Amino acid sequence: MKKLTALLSLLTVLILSASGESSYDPLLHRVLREELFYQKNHLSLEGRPGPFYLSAALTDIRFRRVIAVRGAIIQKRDVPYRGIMGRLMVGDYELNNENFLTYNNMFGEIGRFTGTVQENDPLAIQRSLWLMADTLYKEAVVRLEDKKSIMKECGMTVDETGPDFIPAGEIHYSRTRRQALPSMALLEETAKVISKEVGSEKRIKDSQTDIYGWETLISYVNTEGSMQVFPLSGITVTLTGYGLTQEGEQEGMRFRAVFPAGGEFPSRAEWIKQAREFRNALLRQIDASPYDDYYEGPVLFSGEAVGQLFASALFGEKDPLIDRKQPLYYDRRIADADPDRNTGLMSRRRGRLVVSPLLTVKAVSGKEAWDGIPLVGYFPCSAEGVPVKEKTLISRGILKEMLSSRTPARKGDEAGWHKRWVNPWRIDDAPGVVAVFPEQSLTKEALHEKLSREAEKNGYDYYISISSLSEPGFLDSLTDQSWEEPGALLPRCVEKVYPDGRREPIRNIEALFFSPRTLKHLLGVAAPLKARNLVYKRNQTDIYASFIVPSAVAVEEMAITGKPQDGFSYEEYLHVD
Amino acid sequence: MLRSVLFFSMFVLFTVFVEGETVTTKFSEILSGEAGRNFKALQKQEIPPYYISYRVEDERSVTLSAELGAVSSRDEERNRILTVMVRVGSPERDNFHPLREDVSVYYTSQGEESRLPYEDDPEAVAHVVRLATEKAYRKALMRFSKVRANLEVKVAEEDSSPDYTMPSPSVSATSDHAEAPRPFLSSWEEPLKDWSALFLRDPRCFSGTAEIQLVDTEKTFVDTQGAAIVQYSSRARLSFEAMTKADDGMVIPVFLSFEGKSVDDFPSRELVYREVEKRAALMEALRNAPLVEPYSGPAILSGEAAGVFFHEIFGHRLEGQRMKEVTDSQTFKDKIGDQVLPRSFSVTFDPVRTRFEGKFLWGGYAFDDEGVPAQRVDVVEKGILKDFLMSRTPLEGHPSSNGHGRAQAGRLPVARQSNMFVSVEDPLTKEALRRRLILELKEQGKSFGYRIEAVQGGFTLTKRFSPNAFNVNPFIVYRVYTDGRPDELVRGVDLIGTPLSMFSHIEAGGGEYGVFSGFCGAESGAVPVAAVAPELFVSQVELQKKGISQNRPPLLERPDRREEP
Repeated sequence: MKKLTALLSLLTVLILSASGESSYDPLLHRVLREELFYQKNHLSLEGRPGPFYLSAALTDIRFRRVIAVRGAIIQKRDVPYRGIMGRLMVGDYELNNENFLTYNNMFGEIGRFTGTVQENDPLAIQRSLWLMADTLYKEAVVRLEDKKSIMKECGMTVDETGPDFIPAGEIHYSRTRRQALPSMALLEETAKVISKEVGSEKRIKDSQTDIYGWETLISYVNTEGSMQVFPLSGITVTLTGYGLTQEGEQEGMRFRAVFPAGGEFPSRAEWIKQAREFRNALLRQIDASPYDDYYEGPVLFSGEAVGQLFASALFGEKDPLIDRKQPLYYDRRIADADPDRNTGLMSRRRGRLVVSPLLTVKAVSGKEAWDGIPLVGYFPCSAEGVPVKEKTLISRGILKEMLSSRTPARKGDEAGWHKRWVNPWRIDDAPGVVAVFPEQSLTKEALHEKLSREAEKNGYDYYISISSLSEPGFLDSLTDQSWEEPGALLPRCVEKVYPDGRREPIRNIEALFFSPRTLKHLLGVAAPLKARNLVYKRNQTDIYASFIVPSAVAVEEMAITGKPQDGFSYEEYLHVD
Repeated sequence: MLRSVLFFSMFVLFTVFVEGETVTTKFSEILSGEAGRNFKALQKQEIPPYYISYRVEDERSVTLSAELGAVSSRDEERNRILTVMVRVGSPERDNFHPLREDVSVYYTSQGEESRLPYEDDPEAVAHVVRLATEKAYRKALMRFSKVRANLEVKVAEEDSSPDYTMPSPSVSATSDHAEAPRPFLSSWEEPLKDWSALFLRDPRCFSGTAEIQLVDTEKTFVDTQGAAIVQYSSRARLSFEAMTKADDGMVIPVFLSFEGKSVDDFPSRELVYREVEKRAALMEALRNAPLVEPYSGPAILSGEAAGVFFHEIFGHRLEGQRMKEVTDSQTFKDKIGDQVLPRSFSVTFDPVRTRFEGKFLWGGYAFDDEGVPAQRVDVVEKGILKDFLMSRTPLEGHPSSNGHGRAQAGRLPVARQSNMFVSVEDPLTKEALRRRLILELKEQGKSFGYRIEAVQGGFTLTKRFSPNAFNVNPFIVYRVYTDGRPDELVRGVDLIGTPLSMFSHIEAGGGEYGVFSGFCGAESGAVPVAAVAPELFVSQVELQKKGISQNRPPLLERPDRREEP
């Protein structure tokens, strides 16, 4: 052992001298694997078997953040971080410590994430894994015993609950080239340019440009023999601003550009163009009339709202197309608190129509780009070591399959690959790249005709068009926005569209909730398909995903109402000029 | 000893401030301009502000850490935080008047905090300042109406002093000078790795960190009375923390730290190495040390432990605004002129004095966070309580600030501690203190007592709805036997008690002083403080058992200690 240690240390020194930043080191990957197997073979409490499965992922993360206001930087960070995500199971594939929610993992957390040293020091990595495995093993033993006792008490058998984990084959995948983030200097310059452009409009009371970029190289190993290395990344450029309406209400808007790192960063001219578009849209929003009607009629979603619509309707808080094994609960209170409690219920609708027959939905997370646009939701292997394949989720409106992982929702399920790194810090069951193919598409003009006719049938001389959706609270950093329910989306860039083509901006629309039902009755969709990279929230988690979607979608009927006036208006005491 | 210490301090005042002379920066001029402009603009309102201040902390920090022989984190950060104070009404009664039995105080703060641009871009700075002022003014208006209603429906107040003491106009000053930008701490990487690796000598150490952090702060304060104060400060810390686990599950930490104004104040690297070695060696001894049973009886506190002890049980209870809060226990409110300590003891808070026996003290400054020049405050003279620590919030009998209004960036100031000096006129030698301890133990019929050597920190509760108590957390404690046996290292102990009872048992002080520099957290956030105190002999302390983790130590040997790979 001493010899090995000395050799490892020597190699470490040689590697370290090459770079100050953590770079991929095959030695670390090997050490990670050896330590996992050591733990698997040796870790045990007296009279108890050791773990039957362990996995570990070393994540080398760099994140950069720049925030600017009116052409000046107010915050910047450039931080490297390295962590290990470990997972350990005791029992066997049929019955183990997972799929059981207690007060210690009431949000379904599995495994553990811990920071470790940034240097490529094999012994330090071993130590981190040693400590983590020790803790996980003790927790797993207790949890499995608790689970067995609950099963006994409730008279449940493994046959009834189904297996807990699906074995997977040994997979080797290696792609070690990182997706480099733009330099801090470029990010700073960009943030300054955008914020200056947006802030130059005096009627915008406050605005902010927030650029957040992360990239990580994930080295994954498990005791089934799989070894994978691959990079992931995401950059979000978020423009937020607000102004005061004539009535003194705060009216704001957000625009967000999302794309993976490593490719070409948009030029200064492109950012200026984007900033101007945002500024103009925000001014239209501020000047818009507050909506005071009660609307039940057709709604057109276009622009960036289409991606958010599909993300929220199919993979949001309500009835997502994510398969899930019903976990056992320690007690009723834990069951009630489980945010994913209804997840997976859609599986009962397999073979049935769940959305409009106009739509075919496929999970294509192995797709790196669409129409030349790099996709932020791409990933080659799941966080459980399963390589990504294509899967048809909905065919002509009929539910075929759902996103799944290695935790089988029912007996006989095959290992799925959608437990993934949804951001550099978290693994979750979530979509990566989803493509929505229309069975037929209409021209914009034809769609307009249909929408107008449908509106008229419902007794309206206009229909509503929404081209932006943002999570409530997006103005929190600038204003004192109110609390709103998770899963809701606030419509922005909303217009009344009249049959003659006239458009009238409206504002103050109540937040909307989407589910597959929203997409059940569509008047039509418009080509061409467009790639929408986005970050959406589910269970308070930021999920980086890509949606390849039609450019516009006309929903046959939705209820849209104006928000009740809360009475808060803001006198401008100090005019900014 | 004390005389020589005081004499020395006269030469180490780090601050030179020039009162009345105009010493400004481009940034302070922008801020002053905004203060004047915004104040004037708001005078048109029905309830105009009578005072506005802007405080900006521009803090740059670099941190480098190593964990058991390898670099674990590198971080550089800069935060330029604006804190706005807007006061409406009058100094007699304004929006800061305490609200009685009103839960909204728990959900809303009065100050307005914003991030300012790093660069002195007048347009961008003005934009942020105006927005923050507007928000702070809106809050001030709302709270002022609550204050008026609250005063009408509640009983008469015990303390009818005004809410604010207006500063004298036109103070323009600066202190010290800006430090040159620091290069990153690359040259410290190897020593930190070496030092942290020393903890690996203990076979059951599972975590051992060495960290260096350097912080430079430029603080700018302007107000509508014409104040424009710029002050610079630096602090540095080299700290070590390691953990092991006893067989009974107790997590045993050991700590070591060196504080200074800059790295120049740190001891030589050889000395640091030796000190870390000692701490590493202590881990095994602590692991095998017996657990302490609850104890009431005499003890000796080292200077460092006594400093934390005084900070928690005494210092916090002298913070002036507490005497106005009806929810506070107000332990010392009516004790001015009373004997609160033995006649040989004196206690002073002195932010102007920033070194003690060459050691840099963290609680120093030239002006407090309300623009008041720092002042020495003799709170206890020969055992008699003389004064409280005061901000601009007056108390009956204490109408003005003594330069102790302090806050963390983004919070509004209240009276807080600075550098505390506890001194004793007739110090006992170490041997004499020990003899007093043994004698007292015998008188109380006890076969052993305790000597508290090192502490990691502590806390205190001063409110009426909870026990008015303190808790000091030692990590090196020895049992002292009356029969001449060598002192025995013990573990698992917290020093607890209530202030008045504990004070009545302080019997004597030693001649050896200890220094504790660190952060103190309270209502206005975390502020750097220091405590200098002599060894103490206390005839009765109370020790309680520390909490014990119930998890077994790691089941397998640490990777580098394994027999087989």
